Amino acid sequence: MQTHAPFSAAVQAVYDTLKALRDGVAPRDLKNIAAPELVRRVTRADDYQQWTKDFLGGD
Amino acid sequence: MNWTERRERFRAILSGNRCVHPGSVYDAVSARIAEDLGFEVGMFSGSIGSMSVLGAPDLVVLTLTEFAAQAYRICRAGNLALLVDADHGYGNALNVRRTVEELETAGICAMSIEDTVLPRPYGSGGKPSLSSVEEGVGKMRAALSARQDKNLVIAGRTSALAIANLDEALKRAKAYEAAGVDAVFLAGGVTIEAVEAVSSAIRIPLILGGGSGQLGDLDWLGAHRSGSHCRRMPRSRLRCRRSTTR
Repeated sequence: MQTHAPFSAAVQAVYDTLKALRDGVAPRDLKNIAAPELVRRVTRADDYQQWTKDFLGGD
Repeated sequence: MNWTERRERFRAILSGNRCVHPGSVYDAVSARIAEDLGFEVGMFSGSIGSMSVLGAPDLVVLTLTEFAAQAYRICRAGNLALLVDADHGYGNALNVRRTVEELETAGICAMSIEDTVLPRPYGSGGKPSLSSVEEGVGKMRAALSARQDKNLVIAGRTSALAIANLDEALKRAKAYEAAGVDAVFLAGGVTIEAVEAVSSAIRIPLILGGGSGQLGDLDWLGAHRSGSHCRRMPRSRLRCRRSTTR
């Protein structure tokens, strides 16, 4: 077990991001935001895209 | 738990003279962080719910039960006034009634019901479409009839600016206002011109999702139009605005 650091890291990231937004930082200027590709990967977006093609009649 | 005080607080913001950005929250911890940082309103959307609860993209595969359960976890974690995006109400007008019952019980302060056809129908090619105005009005009326706490805010949400045009957005905003909703939520395709046109056409507050430039500037939104007030609530970029000129 390597500790539960991922949870603490997530808490810090959420805190930093919400604080920046609360302080008026524009969303486009936020730091350490996951790249769209990473979000697509962890949400299995490609799988859903394929299932859409297979079962919903197209792209 | 008692949700009345936070609903009254949300109502006061909605009827006040300023715009606010809500903090985007998705679980108990993020809600507590937002509250601790001073956000007056939290926003929990269907898309973030889908990602955080299921690890799935925003394709309306999340169920009402899952969404309401997560909303309750957010609400019970503190005193943040929570606005939720209840998508299309998870079905037809009867399902909208059930959606209101579940989310009101979960402790939220406000919800939007939208008029986009969801989930994606077979053979649509991915092109979004709007339900009829009549169906949208029926959903708004159903939502209003289902709420038990009159402090719970029901907002009619439309993506007509993005899917159709300004005239369609105006028609829907007026129709939902006439149906009795507490606010109109414009999502997608939001421009200064559109905000001006819609806010001039209705008396109830506007909640804005999307937009850039001056639409992200609370001070500008608050000061831009003489005789009007705006209050906005964010999630990355969600704003609420109300015209008080008529």
